[in-house]
This record gives sequence, structure tokens and C-alpha cells, in this order.
Amino acid sequence: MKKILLIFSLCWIALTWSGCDDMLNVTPETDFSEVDFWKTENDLKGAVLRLYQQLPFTMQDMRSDEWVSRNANAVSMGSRTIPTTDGNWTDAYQRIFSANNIIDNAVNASVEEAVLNRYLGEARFFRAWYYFDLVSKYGDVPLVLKTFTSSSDPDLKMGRTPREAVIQQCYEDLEFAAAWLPTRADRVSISDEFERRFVTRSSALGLMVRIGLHEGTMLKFHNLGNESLWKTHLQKSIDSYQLLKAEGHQLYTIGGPSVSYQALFLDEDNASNTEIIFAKAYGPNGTTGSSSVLHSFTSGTGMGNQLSRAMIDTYLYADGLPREKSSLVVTNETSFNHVFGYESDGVTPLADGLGARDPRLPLSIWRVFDPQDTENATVAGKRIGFVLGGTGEYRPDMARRNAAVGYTAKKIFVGEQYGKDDTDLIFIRWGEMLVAYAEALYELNGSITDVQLDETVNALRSRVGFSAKLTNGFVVANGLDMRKEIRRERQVELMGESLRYADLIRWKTAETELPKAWLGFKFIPAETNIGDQLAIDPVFTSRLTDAAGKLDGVQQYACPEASIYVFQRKEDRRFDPEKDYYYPIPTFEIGQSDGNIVQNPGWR
Amino acid sequence: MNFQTGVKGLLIKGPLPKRMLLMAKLVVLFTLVAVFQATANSYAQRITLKAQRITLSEAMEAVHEQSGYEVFFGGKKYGRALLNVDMKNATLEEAMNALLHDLSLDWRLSGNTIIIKPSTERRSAKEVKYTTQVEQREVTGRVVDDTGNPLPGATVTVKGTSVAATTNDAGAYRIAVPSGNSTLVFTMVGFEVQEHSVNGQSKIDVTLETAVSDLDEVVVVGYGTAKKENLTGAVGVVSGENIVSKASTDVLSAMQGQLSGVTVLRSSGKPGSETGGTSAIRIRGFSSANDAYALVLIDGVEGNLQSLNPTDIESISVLKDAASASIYGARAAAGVILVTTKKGTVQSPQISYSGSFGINSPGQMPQRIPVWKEIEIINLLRSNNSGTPARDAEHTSWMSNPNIAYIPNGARYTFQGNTNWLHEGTKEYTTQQTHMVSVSGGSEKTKYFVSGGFHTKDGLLRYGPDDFNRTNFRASLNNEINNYLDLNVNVSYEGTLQDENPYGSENIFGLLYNNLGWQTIYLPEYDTNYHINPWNTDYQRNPIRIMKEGGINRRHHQYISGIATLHIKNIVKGLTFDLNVSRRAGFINETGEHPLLFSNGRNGSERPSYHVNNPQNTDKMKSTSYQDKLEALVNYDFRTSDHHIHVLAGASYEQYLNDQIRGIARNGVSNDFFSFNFYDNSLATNSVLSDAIQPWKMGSLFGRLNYDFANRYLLEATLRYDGSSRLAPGNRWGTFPSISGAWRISEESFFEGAREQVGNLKLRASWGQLGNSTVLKDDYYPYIGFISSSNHFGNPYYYQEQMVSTNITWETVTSANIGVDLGLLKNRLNLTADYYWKKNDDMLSQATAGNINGYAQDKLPFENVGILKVWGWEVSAQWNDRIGNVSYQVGFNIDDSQNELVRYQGAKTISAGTIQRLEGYPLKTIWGYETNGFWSSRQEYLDYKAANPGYESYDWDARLDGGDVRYVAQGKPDHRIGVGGGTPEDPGDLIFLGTENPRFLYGVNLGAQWKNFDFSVFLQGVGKRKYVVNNQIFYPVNYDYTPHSMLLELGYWTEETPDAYFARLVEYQTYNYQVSDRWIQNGAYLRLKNIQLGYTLPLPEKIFKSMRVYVTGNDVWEYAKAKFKALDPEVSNDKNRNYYPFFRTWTLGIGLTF
Repeated sequence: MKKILLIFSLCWIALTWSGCDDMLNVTPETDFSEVDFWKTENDLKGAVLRLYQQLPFTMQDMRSDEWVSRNANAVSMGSRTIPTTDGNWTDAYQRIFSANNIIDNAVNASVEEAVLNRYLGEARFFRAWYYFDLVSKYGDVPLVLKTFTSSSDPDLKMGRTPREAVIQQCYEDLEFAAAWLPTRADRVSISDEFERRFVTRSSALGLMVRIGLHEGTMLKFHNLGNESLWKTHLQKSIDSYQLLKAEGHQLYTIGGPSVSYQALFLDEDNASNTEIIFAKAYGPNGTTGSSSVLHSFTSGTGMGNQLSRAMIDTYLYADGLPREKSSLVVTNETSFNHVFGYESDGVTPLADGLGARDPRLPLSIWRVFDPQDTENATVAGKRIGFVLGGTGEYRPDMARRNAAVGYTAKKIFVGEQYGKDDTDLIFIRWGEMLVAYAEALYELNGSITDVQLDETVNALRSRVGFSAKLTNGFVVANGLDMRKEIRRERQVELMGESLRYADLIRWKTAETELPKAWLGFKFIPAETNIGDQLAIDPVFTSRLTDAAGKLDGVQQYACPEASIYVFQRKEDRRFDPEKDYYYPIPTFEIGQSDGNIVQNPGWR
Repeated sequence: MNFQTGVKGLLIKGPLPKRMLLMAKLVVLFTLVAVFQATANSYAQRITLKAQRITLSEAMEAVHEQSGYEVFFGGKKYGRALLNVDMKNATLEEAMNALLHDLSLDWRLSGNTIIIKPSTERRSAKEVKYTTQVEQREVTGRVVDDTGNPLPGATVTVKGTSVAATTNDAGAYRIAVPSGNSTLVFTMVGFEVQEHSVNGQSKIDVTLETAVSDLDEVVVVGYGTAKKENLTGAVGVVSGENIVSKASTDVLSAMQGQLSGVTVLRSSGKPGSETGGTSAIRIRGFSSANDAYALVLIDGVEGNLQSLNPTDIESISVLKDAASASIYGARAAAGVILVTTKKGTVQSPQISYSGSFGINSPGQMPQRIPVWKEIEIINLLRSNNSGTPARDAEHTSWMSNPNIAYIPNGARYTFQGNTNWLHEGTKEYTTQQTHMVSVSGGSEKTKYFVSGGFHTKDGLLRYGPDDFNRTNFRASLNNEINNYLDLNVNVSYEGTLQDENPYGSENIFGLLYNNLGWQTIYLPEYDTNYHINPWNTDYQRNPIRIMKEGGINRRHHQYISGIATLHIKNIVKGLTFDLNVSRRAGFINETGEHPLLFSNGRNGSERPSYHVNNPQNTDKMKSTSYQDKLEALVNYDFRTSDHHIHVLAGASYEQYLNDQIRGIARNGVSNDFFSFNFYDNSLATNSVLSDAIQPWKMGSLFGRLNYDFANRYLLEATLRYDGSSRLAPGNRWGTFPSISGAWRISEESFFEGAREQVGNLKLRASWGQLGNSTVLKDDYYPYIGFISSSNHFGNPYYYQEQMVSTNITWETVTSANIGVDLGLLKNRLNLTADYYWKKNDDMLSQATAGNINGYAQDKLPFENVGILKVWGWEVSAQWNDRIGNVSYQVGFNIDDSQNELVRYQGAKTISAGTIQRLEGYPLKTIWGYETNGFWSSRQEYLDYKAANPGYESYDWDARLDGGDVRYVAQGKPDHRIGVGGGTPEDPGDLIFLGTENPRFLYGVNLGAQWKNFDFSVFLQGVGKRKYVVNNQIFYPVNYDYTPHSMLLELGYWTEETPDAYFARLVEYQTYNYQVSDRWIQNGAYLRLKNIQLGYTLPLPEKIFKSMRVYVTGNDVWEYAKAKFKALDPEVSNDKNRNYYPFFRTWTLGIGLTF
């Protein structure tokens, strides 16, 4: 009886319970699970679009000496401290995650290998993009090549991978990408606002040009490796340049010397603008978020960031000589426009060609009384003027509360209303490749031929109709330094394109350039939009240099020039070569790694 | 065996094995008897029996079969005593007396159970014969309970004899007594025994008092019932009457303060939202730093207390410790609430009606002050800030003049109203009504209970929707199909309907408090062609207009649940099977009709920022949910003379599915018509559609072993094995054990001498583990990676946002409890005390990892890495006694709970205010600055700064002046007042100001009955609590924050009133209102929660079986420690001006039984 009872009881329970574990499996119906994803090419396309959506833009890179603003950048002035967490670190890894997630999962999609590899190539391009960004800031960084699926994965505690290994991974990724991504020619006819700017074989090659030059010079000037090592990087850059050249990129010259340098940032047509190698796409017009960075870029100039006097002074004079050598230099400027070589009206050149500059200067920076905000002031079909009190002429904006009083950028600027502009933002262009090639050649070989200079530096100059050529003979004749001139060419050509800070770091010149005073414009009260009113503002006037270029007895501007606005005195700016060449690693990251991640030297 | 030690519970119902089942059945019957106060009226049945040498057990079996009475033996050996019987058509009384009179046994009738015990007087058979032969006289009377309801089935015995009678349906009895000097003993299960001397009377009416601590009380526990005396865990019980007598809108509110260790948090008087729902009840403090809600089972079906009809409730058991709750395993961490509803009993059909009508008036609430005072204060504020008053002297004087409503101002008019918005926007009082009808009855085989109820309550807002109603229906059918099968079916319907203004009732109160008094309610029609109907005044959102024209949000929630139980019995001795099938279906229907209300500025131009419901829209949500359960239980009961073993084994499978769809259509064609059929569908953004299908499934195995030895040593062990679909396959199963024991010291022989003083002494101890699954509520698939999607310039992109966790599993709360139960002075005084300790070792806490992981930190998974410790104690006492013919009861309970968050996501950050989670501290700690009155002048501040170089006050340095709060620097005053490193180790000038958690919660219950009157008082309070009020409350003015009465009641600083409570009046004065010891409020209070006077009408029984009228006051008085008397002491932390006041309620009610 008892046995029967026992069996019956057990059956009773078993009946209700049997198969329970299986019955506990439920599948999501209104949530899109990863089980249902990664199946089709469309899924891959959607996943890859995330990479473009995450691609950050930089309005102005305030870390260097190019730009000035009321609120000095902590990196630029050397006042940064060790952060708990830092977007420079976090954001890069979140974007690397997106790339790794595709690399890990795309193989599940049933697509042809070439299609698969194309999407993998996009993901690997972006992975390299962000790792290079990390390395250029932090040096060695943890190299994560997978998506973490568990918060207890021991690899989450990994330490820093040597920069060389990270860079080699970048090369590997980029070579894969270059092998499988469509070429520029493949994409030339695409009109879709996004696919038009999807990465190409050229993008991968272009990034290798940039990385090779960066690493080669970084290792060279910071003594981070033996000669053969840094030379391989420079060689990598040069080799990639040669491959890229075969892709058919050319400088943008439509509209001729007077316009093309300005128009190249505004013309988004793949067929006509062969200078673009990698850009962030915006648009279509009117959709949420369509506004490109370009509009904000200068609508903000009245409010915040403007170009520094140091940047202006970098431009060569018409004789091809720098400010410290040229006989065309105007001293005791009495107009804002004198530094551009014009009379106060902005139209009449100064007598004897005095002050005349590299034509890229007036194409990059507004002069007072430049006509603007008219329907006719268009470049590549886009308005370039901006509304400022409706005078129709540019004047330094002193009326707004946080007006920066520096030089207002014209380059990379669209005057369309917010939401009505979808101009793409260029990250890599052929112009950069040319100066990079020149620099790599010079740093690799210690010299550069006139032919090579004609292919690179002089090609850029001739686009804007700048007749003074850089040749070995010119350098010798004028006692110039070829390295310095190539670097100047790079700084001028790429002004405002967010490359300057990294250049200062890899050249190891930040320690001399950044501690200089941060200078604004030449203040001529009558030429500002509020006339003389500001002259009586004691706070403002107390920050102007005297005739000797001094402020409170301290030489802030090397030239004896009065009324140069001093954003920041040189004694307030520091650059500690023992620590400031690398970013401090956030304390949170060190703590979470159980100390496997070691802080950069000098940061404590 | 020594009968004097009173070894109870040794039950033999005849030798037939199948009758072992009776134990369980008796338990059930005791419950029913205790609660329904009604038993079979079949006592008149006659017994015929003729047999030679049968055992007493066999004879009793025959009595059982013929009379229907159950028989309960007090000693096993007597069951084997042999008898010769010959009786025909004997009454029960005659039969029992005849059967027992030679055996020195007494018997009494308790409900429909015959209890046979050894005679206490050891009477000889002759004596018995003698007493049965003396001259008899008859006494009649009526037995009622303490509310005046008749008690059918009560037993009346003549003391010292076995002469007994029971009362009929009307509570009436008739008994023959041997002499005028006899004493009658009135007994009934669930009631205190009473004795009355006959003293020659022929009519004795008796009121029996409910035996609050009756050890025979049967308590509903997990998957069964237990005698209270046999409990080893901590179980709190509230009877249905105690819920109903509170006349509260919902069950949760009524439970407040009734049980130690059970905290009910109320939020406001808003109809239908008086409590925060499931989260409003907290058993024994916190169980997790995450959500942890008590499991509520209504007749075994998961449900909620808010929509339940209070009058349907038989009893509520709260399983507080691991021993009692762990049979519910993974869902029991925050305690379990078992609601048992009323069932039918064996009686003629009984119809009951109860109805009540209540008047609600707002309780504590801040008032508005007159306009002239308002402008005076605002002028002062502005002047102190900018030097210019808000209005010049002329305007100010107009505002003081109630006769001026507007002033011509050039081509326009300036309005200078005198509006008390609060008065205009609220009612003086509101009403509520409750009606309930029930029918119950049944025969031996079939019992039924059917009830219907309706409750409605109006809110305080004067116009527009602000009300709640609830409709309930319940039917229960208990059917004995045959000797082997019982079928019990319960079905219920609960419907709640809440109407609210889409702007939100609380937000409307915010406007009623904030709108400037000189604004007029009604403005002329404005014309967008500027200045045609010009007016010129500040214009704010108009709460009156919003109430009248702002549309409606209607929330209609309906639940239908049903459970069917098949009970199999009598197959094997001691063994029963139960098969339960249940479903609870929920139908949520929420409709929002949101008309667009324009606002125009002073020149007629539109002010979109003040538009309400922009754009016009129709918002509908419908969801259907099903929760199904299949459950099988096996019970086996085995007993020898000293050993009693009960085994329960069970399995259950449960599944849940919620299917929800929501749609919004914007820009409908009319502002008066709302439908998805008519809206501007040319824009894609005008429609929003979403759906959600949320399922979970759960499988469980569970078992319980009870063992007691000689009723003195009790041991219980439970084990539950739970698996959930919500967890990854490898981690979805959890095991939750518990073990508990009790020692009934008072049952020991050595205790015998003390039993007169100490009737009951029991020590209890338990240990166990419970799971918390509440944390999984919103995340149905924490182990599956999901793809998120968004739009990049019109193109969809996909990404994975959330790291998943396959490691995540149940939070396990280990809990221990020790307790003592004490019954003193013949059990008139009963005390229970418990100490408990809980530790949540596997508390879910979001993982942290270096950012190389690639997810945002708040998208990392939760892992079982947190730790929370909780400990506390509970004491309750109950005194029942009688003075003359006044019987009275005094009850008191108090509890305390503390906790420490040992580990949780490395939470170390503090700032001024309430910190919800901080490692090393209790949950919800308050941090703020120390203050030392006000600076008397700016000079005093400057002098102090000079004397303490480096010192600077918090953020007001340049403007600090007399009447500003003087913050005290911690340590040397050589720095600016601030938060330092923002951690408890480096707190700067912040100090620990206490916790927001209420502590020392207590309740006091007083009751008295005299003749037909009954009176009860219930007080409830909190001994210790701190709370921070949102500084919106303090701000006398920051543009649209208008001053309220507290500013005048407590005063503000001026040079003449330097000791006032509020700081000097100056605009933008957040400086003065940082969280500090000055503003933190003492939340201790004592509240007269309920007071009730009832009268049972002496009506002829032919019409009504009973009729009682009563008047009840709820929340009618309170004493609060807080400075802000204008706020209810139960106000939630960080309360701003969106304050819906609590109500005071007076209710008139009637109860009728036909």
C-alpha cells in the first residue's frame, strides 16, 4: 500500500511538473533579439550605419594654438587634471565596441564573402580610426578586439598594449579594409546622402598615410624606437600614398584659384570633388540632425571660438617668406585689414604690395568690410555669408556677451540657416595627403627633391594661385629650414581641420608653442560692429598690448604691435614635457583594471 | 498519561484509518467556525444505536454519522473502552451522557465538534446519575458576539455537569439546569469562555468576546492552515472585521498600523491612489536596495490588495519570516500576504447588507494668504534682491482693495484680482459610499458565498474628473461530491475606474498653490489681432480652466480570477491530494482625451510654453494579462501518541502573459472629439504605435515537514525549488530552504504550577532563505541581447546597447528570527516579541567595469554582487478583560527596522539631500549642512570672515546679509562651505542628518463593549523619521512661487523678528534653503486613525437577524512633531507644492443581516 501511495504521489507531482525546464523557455516577441538579427545584408547595413551615426565631429579643436576663446582649453593651457572618467577614452571604446560587435557577428549573416568582407572592412576601418585616436592621445592602450559578453570576463582587467602592437593592428585592419572596400570609382555615382560618404579603399589608404606619418615622426622625435622602426612607419605612409594616388584623387580646382580652396569643403559631389577621401555625411536637408557641423562652425565664431593671431602670422607673405624674414610685413597696423595686406576698406591693396599674403589667408579668414550675407555671396552653390546685424559687411562682433575677439574663420563655413544645410564634413582629403607625403619623404630621407615639392607643396600653392614656390634653392637662398617650411605648409593648408594638436605632439614642439601667449585680433574700435563703445570697457582694454607688444610689462606678442587682444598671458600657460605629451588615464579605468593599467608618466 | 498536563490535539476519530483525514478537516472547520460564528443547526438530530461491546471510538463514529458532529478525543486509551449501548431517538445530549457517564469523561460541544475530555472532577458514575436526576428548571437567553451579532452554535453547559445546549441561528438557547445555584458556562470556538451564575434567573443574555489570542485559533499559512499554538515562524493575522471596521477606501490603507512589522506607506488622499499600490506595503523593513514587493495571494491566486472588496475578506495572514514564507521560495523575500476570502457555511441562506456613507474633508494642507499680504511679501522679496518692488505703491494699494478687479492702463486694462485659487479650485468636502450585499449558506454537502460590492469616492478638485470607484463580485462554492472528492470553486471580479485630469491632480494642486493671487480666473476673450481685447497682467496656466476643459484620463482596470480545487481524500489514511487550477485575467483599458488648451500672453500673442496638451491627442492603452497556475499538493499526516508528522509536497507550474498595445493620435480634427479615426494623418509624427508582449513562466517544487513531539517540541522544515523563464537556463533554478523550531515551555510538566499566571510560553526560532524576484519585474529577458534601433537622417541603424547577463539569478535573502509568545493572567494578556535579522547577499547591483567594455556604465548588466543587512524587532501585546458588563480590549504593537547597505555599485557619493543608496549607511540617508541661526547682519559675516581667514559661506558671499542662514563649517572654518570630496570620508561640511525611513512604527487598539454599544479607537504613529521637504515649499517667491500660510505661521526674519523660522525674504534665495538641520523635518507623529461607535438595534428577530449602525471617523486627528504643521506628517520625502492633501473621513454605516 505504502509503495503504491509513494508512486502515486510522485506521479502526481511529476505530472504537473514534468517538462518544466523546457516549458520555462520563452522567446521575445516584441523585442528584437540578436537571435533574429545578423541575418541579411540589410541587417549588416543597419549595423554599419551605427558606425557613421557614432562618428563624432570636431567643430574646432581647441587644444592647440590655432584657436582662441574666452574659456581657455585646459589641454591648451596645461591645466588639466586626472579625470575620473573621460569621454576621450570612453567614447572611443564604445565606438570600437560597435565595430567589434559587427566583426564578431556579421559572419552569421548569409551573404556572399565579398559582401561580408566589405561590411567587415567598414567595421575594421572604424576600429582602426578609433584606436589611432586613442594611441595618439594615450600612447599604449588596452587592445580590445572582441565584444565582451560578460561583466566578469577577466579580459576586462587587461593592461595597456604597447602602442606599436596597437598600430600594427590598425595597419592589419586597414589593409583588410583596403582590400575589400569599394573604391572611390565604385562610389562616384552614388547620390544617397549616406552611401556617398561611406568609407572606400581610399579612406583606408588615406588613414594609413596619416598613421604612418604620425607614428614615424612620433617615434622619431620622442625616441620611442630605433631608427628602422620609425622608418618603417614613414615608409608605410609613403607606400600607402602611392597606392592612394592610383585611386585617382586630385586637388579640387573647380572655380579656379579664387574660389576652389573655399569651395572644396562645400562641394559634396563625388564626381567633381575628388579631393574627398573620408567625410562625415549630413542630410538630407530638413531631416532631424541634418545640419552639418559646417554651419555651427562659424555661426559660433561670433560667440566663441576664433582664430589666433599666431595662426594669422603663420601664413607666408606674398614673397614666399615668413613674417620674421619678409620685407612685406606691416608694422604699427592701424586697421584690422593691414595684416591681410589691405586698406581699411578691405578692397584696396596696400601700396607696394605691402602685407600681401598667401592667398589662402583671405580665403580662410574674414576681413573687415568683406561683403557677406547677400544672396550672391555663394560658393559651390552655398551661401557663405552670415547674418550680423544686417550690415552686409563683416565686422568683428563685439556686441554679444561671449564674443571672442579673434579672427573669424571663413574656411569650412556655410551661411545657410540652421537645419537648412547638410554639407558633409571632410576628415581626410587629398590636400592632407600631399603635405603628409612631403613630410614623410623629408623625415625619412632627410631631404626632399624639388620634383617631390612640386608634386606636393607647390601643387597646393598653385591651386590658390600662390606663385612663390618652395624649392631647395629658395630655402637655401633665404636661410630657411626645409622641415619648418613643410610643417608651415601643413599648418596653413590644414588650418582649422583639427590636425594641429596632434602635429605639435608628434613633432615634440608643443612644449615651445603652447606656452606662448594666446592672442586675439588687432583691436581697431571703429571697425567693430559697435564702434567706439567698447573702448571704454576697462576689462577689455586692460587686455590689449602696448606698442611694444607688452601687457603689464611682459612681452606677450613677439612683435612690437599695439592693441593686440591677449586672451591669455603666456605666464598663465604651461606645457610640462614630462607629462603633457600624453593624456592622463582616467582613475576609474585604472581602478577597474585592478591596477593593470598603469598611469602615464608624470600624472599623479 | 497525565491528563492534567492537558496534552491536546491527540485526535482519534474511530479506528477507521480513513478518518485520519479528520485532523485536516477539523482544522478547516475550526477556521470556519471561528470566523463565521455560525454552525450547523442540526443539533436536534436524533441518535439511535444498539450494540454490545463496541469501543467508544466505534460508538462515536456512529454518533458522527447520525448527527454530523465531528468528534475530538482527549485521550487515546478511552477510545478503546468497551460499551454496551441501547438508545433510540436520543438527543445528542442524552446519547453522549449515556455513553460517557461510566467512563469519567466529560464532553462538550464546540461548534459542530464534540470534544471529549477526561472529567476534571473525577466524578463517579453515581454522581453523574445523581446530577442528572435533580430537579430541573429552564433557563433561556441569547448569545451574541461583541458586535451584537447572534452566535449560533455556541455551547452552553451547566458547570460541573455534562448538561449542555447549543444556540440556534438567532443565538438563542434553552437549557435545563439542575438548580437555581448552577453556573452556566458559555463557550464557542474563537471566543472567550464566560461563566454566569443562574441565581434564580430564567433569562440570561450573554455577549461573548472575540478571543484575540485564542491558542486554538487557526491561522492560514502557506499551503494550509496551522493552529497558532503550533506556529514556529512569525505570522501576523488581521481579521476581515478589523479591515472592514477601518472604513478605509482600500485594504492597504486599512492595514496600516495593525500589525507589527508591516509598514503601509500612504501617499495622499487622491481617490484610487491613496497608497502607492504594491510598493506601499513593506514587511519587516527593506529586503533589497532594489525593489522588493510582498507576494500577495488571494485564495492562492496572485492578486493585488487595492482592488479587493474589504468585506469579502475573512482573514489576512502576513508571513514575515523565512520559516513561514520560504515555502513560496523565490518570490517571498519581501514577505507573503495571504488573503482568505469568506466561504459559505452550513446554515439557512443568510443575506447581509452593509452600506456606508462618508464625508471627506481635507486634512492638513497649506493655505493661501490674502492678496494684499502676498504682494507685500513679493514686494519685499524683489526689493531685497533688486531694490525695486514688484509693484509700485499705487498698484499695491489696488491689490489690497477687494473692490478693484481691473484698472484702465492706457489702451489696456490691468487686472488686479483677489483670487484665492485654492479656495476656488477645491471643494469643502467630498463624499464616498460603499455598498455590499452577500448571500451565503449551504448544506453539509454544498456551501456557497456570493457577494457584490460597490465603492465610490470623489476627489477634492472642484471641477473636472477626480474620482474613483470600484466594483466587486465574488462567488465561492464548496461542494463535497462524494466521500472521496471535494470540489471548491472561487471566482471573482474586481473592477476599478479612476478618472483624473490629464494635467495630473497633483499638478493642478501645484497651480492652485503657485498662481498669483491677483490673477483673475476669467479673462476676456482674447484676439490674436493684438490689443482688441487688451489686458495687461502676468498670465499663468489657469488651473480652473484646466480642470474644466483639460480633458480626462480614464483608467479602467478589471481583473477576473478563478480557482478550482479538487480535493481527494479518504483513500489512504492521513493522505490527501489537492489539484488547483487558477487563472487571473487582467484587462487594463486606459484612455486619454487631451484637448489642446491655448494660452495667450498679455498682448494676445500665443504663449506655447503655457499650452496644455500640445498637440491635441488621443492616447489609448489596452493590455490583457493572464496568469495561470497549475498546482498539485500532497498532504500526509501521521500521528502516534506523542509524535505527529505532517508532510506536504507540491509542485506548481505558472505562466504569465501580458499583451499590451498603445496608440497615440495627435492633432485630431476637433478639440471636442477623440478618436483614432479622425486626426491629421498626413504627418507620420502624428501617430505613435507600440506594443509589448511580456511573458514569464515559473516551475516550482516544494515541500514541508512538520514534526511535533508531545505538542511541546515543534520542528518545521521547508524547501522550495523555483525556476523562472526570466533567467538564463543555467541559472534559472534556485533552492530556498528553511528550518524552524519552537518549544512550548508552558506545556512542560515542570511548568504546571506556573500555568495559572503564565498560561502560554513559547520560544520560537527560525532560519531560512528567500528569493527576491521583484527585481526581474521589468526585464523579461535579462539574458538575451537585444538590438536597439534608431534613425540616422531617416535611415534605420541597429546596435546592441545593453550587455546581457547569463549569470544573473535570484537575490537570496538569508533571514533568521527568534521570538517568544507569552500568555499571562489566564491568557488575558498576550505578548509576542520577535527579533529578526536579514542579509541579502546576492543583491542585484549593476556591474562596473572599465570603459573598455564598450557599453555605457548604465547599460552594464545587473549581477548578484550587492549586500544589504537588515535587522529589527517587533513587540505586540493584547489585553482582554471585562469590568462588570463592560468588556474591553487593549492592543499595542511596535516595531523597528534598521539596515545597512554593505555593498552596492561602489555608491559613495553624497550631496545635500537624500541619498538613496550609500555604501556603509542605511538606505535613504539625509545629508545636509549644520546651521546656527541667521547672520544678524552682513557686518557680522564680514567680521567672522576676517576672524577666520579663508572662510566663505556657501555661494552667496557677495550678497550675504542679515537674515541669511549661517552655515557652520565642519572642522576649522578656513574654507568655503561645500561638499568637500562628496563622500562620507570627505564630506566637507555635510553632516549626517538621519534617515528617511520611518522607525518605531506603532499602533494602539482600544475597544469596549457595553450592552448593545461598541466603541473602538485605533491610534497609529511613527516614533522616528526625518524628511526633507522640497525647497519649493520654502520659497516664498521665485517668480511664480507664491507665499503660502506657513510663511506667516512660522514667520520670516526681519531685524525685528530675528528668531523667526524662515530666512529673510529675498528673491533667488536658494542659498538659504540648502538641505540643513534647519529645514529637515521631524516626521514623528501620532494619528487617531480610526474611532468608531456602534449600536446594535434590539429588533425583532423575525425581520432581521441583526442590525447594527455605526459612525466612524478616519484620520480625524494627529499630533505631529514637524514644524510644518500644514503638511500631513506622512507626506513623502522631497514633497513639492504638487500636494494632494490627505483626507479626514466621517462615515455613517449600517450592517443588516436577514
